[in-house]
Amino acid sequence: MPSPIAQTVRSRSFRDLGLVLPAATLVLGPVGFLAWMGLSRGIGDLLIRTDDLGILPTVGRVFLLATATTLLAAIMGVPLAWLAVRSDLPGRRFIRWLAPLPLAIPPYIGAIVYQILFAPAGPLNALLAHALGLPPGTRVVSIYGVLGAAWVLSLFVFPYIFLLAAAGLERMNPTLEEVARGTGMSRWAVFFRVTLPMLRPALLGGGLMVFLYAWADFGVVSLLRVRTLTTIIYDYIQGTMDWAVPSGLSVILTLITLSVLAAQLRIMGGGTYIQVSGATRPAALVGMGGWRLPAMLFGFLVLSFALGVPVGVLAYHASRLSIVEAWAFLSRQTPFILNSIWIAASGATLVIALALAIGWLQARGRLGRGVSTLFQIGYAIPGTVLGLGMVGFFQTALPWVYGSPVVLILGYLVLFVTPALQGVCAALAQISASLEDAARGMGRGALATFWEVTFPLVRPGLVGAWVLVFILCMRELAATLILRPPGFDTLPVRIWIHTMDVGPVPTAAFLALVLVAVVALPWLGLVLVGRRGVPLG
Amino acid sequence: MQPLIVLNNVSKRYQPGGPPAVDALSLSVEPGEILALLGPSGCGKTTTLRLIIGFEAPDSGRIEIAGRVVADSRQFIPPEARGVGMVFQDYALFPHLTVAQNIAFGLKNLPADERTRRTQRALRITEMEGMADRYPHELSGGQQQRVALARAMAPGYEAVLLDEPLSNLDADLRAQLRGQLRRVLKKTQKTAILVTHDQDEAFQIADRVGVLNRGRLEQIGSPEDIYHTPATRFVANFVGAADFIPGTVRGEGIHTEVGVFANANGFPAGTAVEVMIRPDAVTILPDRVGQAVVTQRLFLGADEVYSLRLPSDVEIHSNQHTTMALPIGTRVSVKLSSSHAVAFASPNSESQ
Amino acid sequence: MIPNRNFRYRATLRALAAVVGLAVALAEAAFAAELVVYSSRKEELIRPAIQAAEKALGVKVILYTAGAGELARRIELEKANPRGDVFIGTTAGFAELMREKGLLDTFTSPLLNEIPAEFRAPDNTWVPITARVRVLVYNTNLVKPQEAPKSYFDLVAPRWKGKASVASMGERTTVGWLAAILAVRGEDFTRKYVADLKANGLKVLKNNTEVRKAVAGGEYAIGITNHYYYLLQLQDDAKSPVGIVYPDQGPADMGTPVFSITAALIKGAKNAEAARSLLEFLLKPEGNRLLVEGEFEIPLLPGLHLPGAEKGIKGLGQFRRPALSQVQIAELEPKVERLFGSAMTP
Repeated sequence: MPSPIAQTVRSRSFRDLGLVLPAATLVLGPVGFLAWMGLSRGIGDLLIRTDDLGILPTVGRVFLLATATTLLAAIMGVPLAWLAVRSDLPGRRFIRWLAPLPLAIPPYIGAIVYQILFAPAGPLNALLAHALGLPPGTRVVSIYGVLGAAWVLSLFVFPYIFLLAAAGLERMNPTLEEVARGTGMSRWAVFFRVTLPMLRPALLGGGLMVFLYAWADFGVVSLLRVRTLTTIIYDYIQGTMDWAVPSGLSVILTLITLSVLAAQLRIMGGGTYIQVSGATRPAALVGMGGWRLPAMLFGFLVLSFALGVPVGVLAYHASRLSIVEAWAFLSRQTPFILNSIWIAASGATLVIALALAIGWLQARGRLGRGVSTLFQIGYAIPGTVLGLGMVGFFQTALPWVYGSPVVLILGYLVLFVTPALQGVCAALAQISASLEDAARGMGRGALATFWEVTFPLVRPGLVGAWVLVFILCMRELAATLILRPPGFDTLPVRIWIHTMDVGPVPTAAFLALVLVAVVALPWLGLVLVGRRGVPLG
Repeated sequence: MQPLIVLNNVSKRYQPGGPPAVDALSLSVEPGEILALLGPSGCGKTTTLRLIIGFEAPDSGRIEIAGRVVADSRQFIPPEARGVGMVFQDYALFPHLTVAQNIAFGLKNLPADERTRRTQRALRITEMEGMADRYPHELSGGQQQRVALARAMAPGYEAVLLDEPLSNLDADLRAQLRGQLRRVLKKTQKTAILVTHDQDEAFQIADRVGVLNRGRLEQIGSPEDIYHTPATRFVANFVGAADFIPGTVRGEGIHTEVGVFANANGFPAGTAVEVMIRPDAVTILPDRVGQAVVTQRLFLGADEVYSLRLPSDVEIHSNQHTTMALPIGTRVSVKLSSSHAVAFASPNSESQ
Repeated sequence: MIPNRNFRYRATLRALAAVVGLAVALAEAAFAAELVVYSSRKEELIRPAIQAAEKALGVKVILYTAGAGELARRIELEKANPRGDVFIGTTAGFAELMREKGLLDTFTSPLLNEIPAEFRAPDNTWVPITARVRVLVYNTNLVKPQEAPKSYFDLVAPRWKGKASVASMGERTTVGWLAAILAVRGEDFTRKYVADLKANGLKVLKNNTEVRKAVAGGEYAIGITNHYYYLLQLQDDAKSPVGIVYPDQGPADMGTPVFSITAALIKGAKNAEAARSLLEFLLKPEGNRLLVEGEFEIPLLPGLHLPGAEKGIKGLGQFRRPALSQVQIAELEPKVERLFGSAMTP
């Protein structure tokens, strides 16, 4: 079926330009500014100045970190998804509900928690030292370094893999597995030779998301003493007036990230081959038999490490504040909490609105791929780099935006339109273009059609996407740290300042708890509403 | 009387330089008439509907509705201002609205009581009373189809366009709804254009049938004309089953291996032609010296379809009542009722 | 009855747009009237002084906390339209850099005359408000007091292999410390010293807070850091096993470097008058006392109580310090960054 609504080539290219130009300014402006600053004295100068920073080993280290994080996340996410969807494990519904929740805990807060736990004289090492008969204060295990960072990161990003894998398993046509069983394969063989390959697109998508997250992370590596490109850039930003080195490094980092993303797009470009069969019967649950206990233990441990431990440690630490102290502290922090909620809500609303416009125009063939590709580039720019680039670019090019909270919202647009588009497009895909045609045929103009037909139908999907983006904005640290205008600190920034000032102290733990609560509440609401479901078509 | 819908030399391509979806199409529909556009998928019939209602703009040509130009090279009136109702192949019922709200969707500008009255009337005509407060997903396919029809007719537009309205239903229901659809359209005196790839649907519902092929109108006329005197080989082939037997014009008639036919088209003597033969015009009788051999037999219930091989190895078919069952390999004589025979210049000579 | 959805959504959208617009306008309006202080001081520690100033001067202060480098970069970026009024940094390094770029305004006060000249800017473009001393802290569980190193230069000995830690150059006092060594001992010596330190397993941590925690927790026996981290650790936990050494105190030694903490008036500040009163307040005994005590610094102005004196902290004049002015140290800082930037990164 050819494109559904009449468009002349001319009007489409105008519409393309109208969206592409601002998007290009927003995304490429900051990067261009950095490239200009980084290379203003020539590539040779930059190479000399970065020569002894050890860029190559650093890139290798980050690659190792991202790979380890992805592997660990897959080891947690895939079996949990299978257990939640396919097994007869008692409590599998709890797993299905709880496993996405670690996404509500920003990984840098997880890093604070595990820093406390693994401190040399902290509970874990004290216990181990005592058990091993070593002098108190000995550090038996350390959370610092690539492995510790990978562990912490994977605990809080594995839900990306879990969610995609679980959705894939739920939609997979069980007949294929039954056919394989019919040929005499064992359950394990079926899992590895049929189920897993079928899940490949979902796993690749989730895996690359996790990989990119770890690759561009700033908070966790910074707290857990892993020297990465983002921390080098941040140290240069904080400790020098120099533009060339941090800009040059930012450009290098962005280029590498973009090539990873391009690889992702290429791999994902092949599309999905999960067999979606409209109303198939669900697959029969697999009896766990003797594996029941180990499987339950596995689920319990993963969820404890990712949910119970962080919340418990934060609550314990925060409880060292007296109620009076806590109240005084909270009232001092209220403006920042409100800042955070306000900016995240406006950011999420604008991001979703823009994503809806882009997604809708693209789904109806009225807009090319240019805009979404631009935002994909934005998504790939690490927050630290984006912050530096935007501050420089906006002060130079758009000074009236610089220094107001608007610049934060623009930053969130660049970073989060892509994840928003995923949700929006999924919602839009369920609306047949003929519904809109029908409304046009019954006397509605294009706008009225959008508000009366399209919007009400995508709204349930939009709520989910909105909550996701709200959470992403709410917990954004790296870019916000640099972009925030004076007097407009957000919760993550306050947590960061408190932690950096005096280490993980009760006040920081208390703030972190507030952030987790603010982020978790809409998420829980979404899960609950999602369960009830809206009977549409 | 002035025609209600007129297409004059309308063309449309989706990609510049690509194949035309609609190619210099001209047709007109009288008020109260039901026209079926029949053709295989991709023939441009749905595009024609979309051009008429205004979801697409023509590249060239002119479209008029009720005497008003709605699209030509200078102007384009958007769909919402054309006053034409449409029933979609997937019905396009708004899933978030009840049946009554769906039907009332096109009645926005009317006062509330008038809106209610018209909704009730549309429900009554389509025999959907009592379903007003259901949501589309609570209805069966046939009920959804009727709501879609009711919704398209409720605004009181003179013209209704129907895009494969019955194709999503199973065979029994489809057959049953054809009659109902025609009855409703005629009772409300709507002008309708129906698009379908199903000739039975076209023949049973429409007053006139237009056959489209690759964006061009091959033939337009009454169902009987289309079936018995197809204007082109494509029409002959697409509408009903047809076999082609080579023949030559000699003297007064067309000579073939199964007999001589009238040269109704007046081909000049010596022309190589092909004669179209419908299986129901072929009668066979067991005959040990007959010229044809039964090669296959398909049992259809009331009828049987025999495949016959002629001496020249051309295969033709014959519909026979099941009263007589001939085994494969039986030698038969072939008799044709020549009123059903139409000749075309043979493809080879056409290309010269 | 069919609700008019069309109207409802449009109304929602309009309301949303209005709220967003209003909030932006309010936020911007709110910022305009307040004194913006760009500070690289620890917020919790500087807050008492800032709050007292707010009360005494009747202004609202917005504290923007970030690294001194980011602040200086911002001030340069905003040169045409300054958003900040006052800069409170760390050592004189960035203040000097900004003075050279013409980003700072002069500030004079009779109170400044009571501060030794070596701690002041010759042209009063920046103001020394307090001072800190670069010391060694050690873990008393791991090192006996009499065995503690007496000099920075002892740390290259095999005895301290893998046992010493220092903050990265993100901490300006690390830069200032090496600049002082560079000024006193020369480039060749300092290069070799840093190389030997690294070869001896000197651990470069992110910041001084990590250093003090690492030493108190026994991760590293020795920390090269500032004197007030010793006091901060004891404030956190009075029973912490930490000791303090003022290194290089012998008659032929270079002495223990002291850095002045600088504040400055940003050129073209929108609230220059309020900014001047804030600086004046921070020099007056009532304000300066809060700065000194809040941050456990040592006072540059006479007549103020010295925090931590009972715990072994020495005031200005109670220990030997290099004969260097703050400007001399600051001038060498870019060179230190160039020479040791990569060695002194975590």
